[in-house]
Amino acid sequence: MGLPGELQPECRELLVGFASSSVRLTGCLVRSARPVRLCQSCYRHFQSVTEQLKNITRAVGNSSESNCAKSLLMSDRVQLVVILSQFFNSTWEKANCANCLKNNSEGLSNSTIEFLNLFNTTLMCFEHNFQGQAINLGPSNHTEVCRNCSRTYSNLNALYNKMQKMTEQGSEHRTPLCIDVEDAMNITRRLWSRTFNCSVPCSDTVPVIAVSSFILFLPVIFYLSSFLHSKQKKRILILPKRIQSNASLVNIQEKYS
Amino acid sequence: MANVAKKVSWSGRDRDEEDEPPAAGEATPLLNGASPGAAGGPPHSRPITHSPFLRLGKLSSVDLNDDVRELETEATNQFPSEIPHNEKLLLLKYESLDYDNCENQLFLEEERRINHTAFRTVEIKRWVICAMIGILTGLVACFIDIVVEKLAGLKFRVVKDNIDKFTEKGGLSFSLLLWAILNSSVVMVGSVIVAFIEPVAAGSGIPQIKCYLNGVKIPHVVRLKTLMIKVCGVILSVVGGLAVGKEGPMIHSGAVIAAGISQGRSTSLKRDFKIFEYFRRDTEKRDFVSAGAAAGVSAAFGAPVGGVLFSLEEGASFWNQFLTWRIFFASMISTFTLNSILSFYHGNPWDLSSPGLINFGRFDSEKLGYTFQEIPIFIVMGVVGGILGAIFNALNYWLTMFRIRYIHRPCLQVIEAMLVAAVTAAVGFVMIYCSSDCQPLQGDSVAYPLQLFCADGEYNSMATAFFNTPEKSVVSLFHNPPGSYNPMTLGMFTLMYFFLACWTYGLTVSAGVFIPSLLIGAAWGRLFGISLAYLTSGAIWADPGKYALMGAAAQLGGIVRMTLSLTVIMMEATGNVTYGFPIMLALMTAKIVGDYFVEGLYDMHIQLQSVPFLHWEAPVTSHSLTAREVMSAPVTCLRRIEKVGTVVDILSDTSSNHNGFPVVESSPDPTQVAGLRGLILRSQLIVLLKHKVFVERANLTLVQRRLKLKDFRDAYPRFPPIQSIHVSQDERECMMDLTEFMNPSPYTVPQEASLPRVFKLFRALGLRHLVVVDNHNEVVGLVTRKDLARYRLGKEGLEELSLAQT
Repeated sequence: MGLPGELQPECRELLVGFASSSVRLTGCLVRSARPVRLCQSCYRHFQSVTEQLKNITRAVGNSSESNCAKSLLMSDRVQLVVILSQFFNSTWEKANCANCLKNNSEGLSNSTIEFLNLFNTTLMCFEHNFQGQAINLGPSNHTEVCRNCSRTYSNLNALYNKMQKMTEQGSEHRTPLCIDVEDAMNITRRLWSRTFNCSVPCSDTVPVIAVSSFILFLPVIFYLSSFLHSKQKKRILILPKRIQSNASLVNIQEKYS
Repeated sequence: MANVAKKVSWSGRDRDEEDEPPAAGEATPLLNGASPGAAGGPPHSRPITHSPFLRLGKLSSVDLNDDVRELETEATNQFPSEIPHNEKLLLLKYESLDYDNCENQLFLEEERRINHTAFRTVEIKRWVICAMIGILTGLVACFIDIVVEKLAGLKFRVVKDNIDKFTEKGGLSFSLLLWAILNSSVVMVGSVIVAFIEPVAAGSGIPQIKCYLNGVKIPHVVRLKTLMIKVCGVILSVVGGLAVGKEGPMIHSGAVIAAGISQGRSTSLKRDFKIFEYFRRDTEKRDFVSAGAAAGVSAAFGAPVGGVLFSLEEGASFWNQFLTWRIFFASMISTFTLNSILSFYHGNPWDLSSPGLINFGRFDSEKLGYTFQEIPIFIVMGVVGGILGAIFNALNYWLTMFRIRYIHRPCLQVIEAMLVAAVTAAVGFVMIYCSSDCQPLQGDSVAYPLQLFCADGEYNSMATAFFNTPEKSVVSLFHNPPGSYNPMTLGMFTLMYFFLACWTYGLTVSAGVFIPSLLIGAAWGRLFGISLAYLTSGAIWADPGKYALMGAAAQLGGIVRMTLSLTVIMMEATGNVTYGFPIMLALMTAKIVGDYFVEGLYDMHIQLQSVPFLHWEAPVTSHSLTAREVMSAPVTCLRRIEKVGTVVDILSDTSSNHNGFPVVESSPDPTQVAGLRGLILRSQLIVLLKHKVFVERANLTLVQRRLKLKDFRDAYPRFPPIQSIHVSQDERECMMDLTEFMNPSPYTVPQEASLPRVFKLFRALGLRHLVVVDNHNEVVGLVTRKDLARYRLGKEGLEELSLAQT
């Protein structure tokens, strides 16, 4: 036994446990920052950190003064353990990882796995068709990629939209998908429309202009015709019953003109 | 059945009395106004001294000098002239409300009967009513909000899917057509119900409520039917994509709710709940209506204090502290109700994060603070807002004039509204189509992201402004991070939306102007902020959201010209008291600059509707006008004991549809001075006639129930027209004693009183009739609202408006 103020050995053990698991989690988070693979690669580490923290809070200790939770979580101003765990939690929430994990956080959810598989196929397709082409990307000549991969790409897009809709149904507020899925989709979309320039919407300017100018002309016709044909609203003047009504009017005019 | 039986016996009795007319009847032959030409008069017609000068129903008790009579005959000989509608008219159909309490004997009796504790329950009832007003207004606001959200969401999803589909395949013109047709068909429904069922529900309703609190009776303005049409109309016009907001109409809705609840019955539904009977008169109703208007503002903006101040600013001539406190109570209840219901609806109960229909979002981060150097910039923005507001009002003035003159048939109005809806959609679509401002899609910042020609994963930035409900667009202009809009987008949007909003206000749909003004202001404010940051090469004033807010305040102030209440409303809606000062500065400058050119939008519309609105004070240069020049004369007077036939004739005379009649002493001698004894209202006379309160009947049937104040209240507010009251020939010969029912102490002024003096008395007391008397307490003339509202300070000094009929 050391001094009364010193940390109990079992508490130290807990602290060391937390330290090592948080080191692992931090490393994983940073390593999978770009391209974002947070949720898929780090969920185990995150789970272990939560577990450790739970152990600390639950370790009520045998006596009241040697309370691990108390000494580790609330005995100083900085409260480093709390700060760290809060950081992890907020990162996790911001990334919205819960969205692509199963309910009990044991592994990725089915739709996420499906999505990631499709994502990999799409990337493979891109790579495959891209092989033959020159490295310096011209603006237009990627027709091969566009033709061959359009099916997988649109499948991926459709799946993404479906997942988005599903999460919207779950709750009233619009919650984004988890960051892995979102980022994967963004990368693919950017490749598709910016790099390969595949999405070329057909613009039909002429009919749009025709229809809109037709609509814009309708009010002109309406106002002209109502100006010419509608009977103007007339008011019938009523003469007020007044003493010297003319005199007072003259009065006013005299005074002010 | 009983009525008929009575009538028969009554007329029989009348016959018996023919030979010995009652004492008061002897005065009749001497009166020269007793209906000489009354068709089918009684067979025993008495000798009548014919006076060619006086028209039907004018009694000799009005002792007038000869030149007056001549003037009068001249006037009647002239043909009524027809002129096109213009702004210098007062329409005859607008009447005053009776805000003056009639202290007749019945009133005194009732007061004596009700003891002290009963008055205390009346006081409690007032509080209960205010609470109910708050709750119901909040509920109506919730209903509007939720339905608009659902329907607009549905519409935008349909159009968005369609656009997405056609962007790939081509044929976007079909999407445009779909959008335009959807919009105009929704607006058509909204416009049809307004134009054909209840035209008074058109517009924001604020001018109408302002008039009501000023003391003008606008027909149908506080009916249940109006509320229904208003609520449905607002929902439809917002869903129809017009450049309108749902906030202004909330004020009208709140006022109608208040007027309905405080009466404890609905005449439209023909249900009388037999409660709150004490409040069935204009004075009490007005207080509740101001509470309702406050509750409406409070629900619309989440601004309870702003609501109270709005009522204060608009209806302030009749005010006291207790009323203020009660109104504040109603406002608080209203915003709390809305807040709790909406938080339940959004799935996070007791979160209480949506106090109003429009939520400006939180402005509390540190970067949104302002510095001293920025204050002159805010003032400059106020100037811009004032000028733009003046242009808006001037354009809308011409448009409204055109509409009143040429587009007055309901079907034309509906077509116009539909066209505006279609054009709004078309303009929006073309703007989105031509815009190449693409922004990356991030999480959930955009409600209905339209991709169109942007790359996958990006959205069209113009679409967030046009392809959204206006409320949402305002919020995104305030809060989207810097760089979400490029200056070109903002400039085009401001320009287009300015004209669309200006064109839309005044259509026959129920819709407010608050949100469009805020939106225009927010757009140019943001533009202003961006260019400022650009000119000073970035640095300190980076956040454009703050400038968007100031621009919105300045623009709104420039259009509606409210000061105190608007500042507080904006302050409460942003939830940031530090912004009070710059908002106040911006609003103040906007008002000063705007007033230099034209008046505010609401005042302008009141004037264009030819409503006899009394402003705060009489025109400043009118001291030389005296009551004698202002008043109407000659006056149709009644004698204290008057013949029923005369009363009926006077009431049914359509050419002089008077509402108040001075009661004079019925002296048998016409040469003798007949002093003023009191004032009686048309409504009272009609109730008396309906209940057949005649002197002869009272004498003969002693068991007859005495008329109580309750009988007058039951008839309120829709007194039957005189035509619906049947008076038999024999009854015409009876006498009525008005002593008990008239107001024995009407306000009077001498002939020499100046116009501002008369005005002050009239405005401060909320009078309806002000009797002008000479030195002998003899009635010389009568001043009514229209006599005072005629004088106005125009461009070149004092000008006089003319009276007109539709």
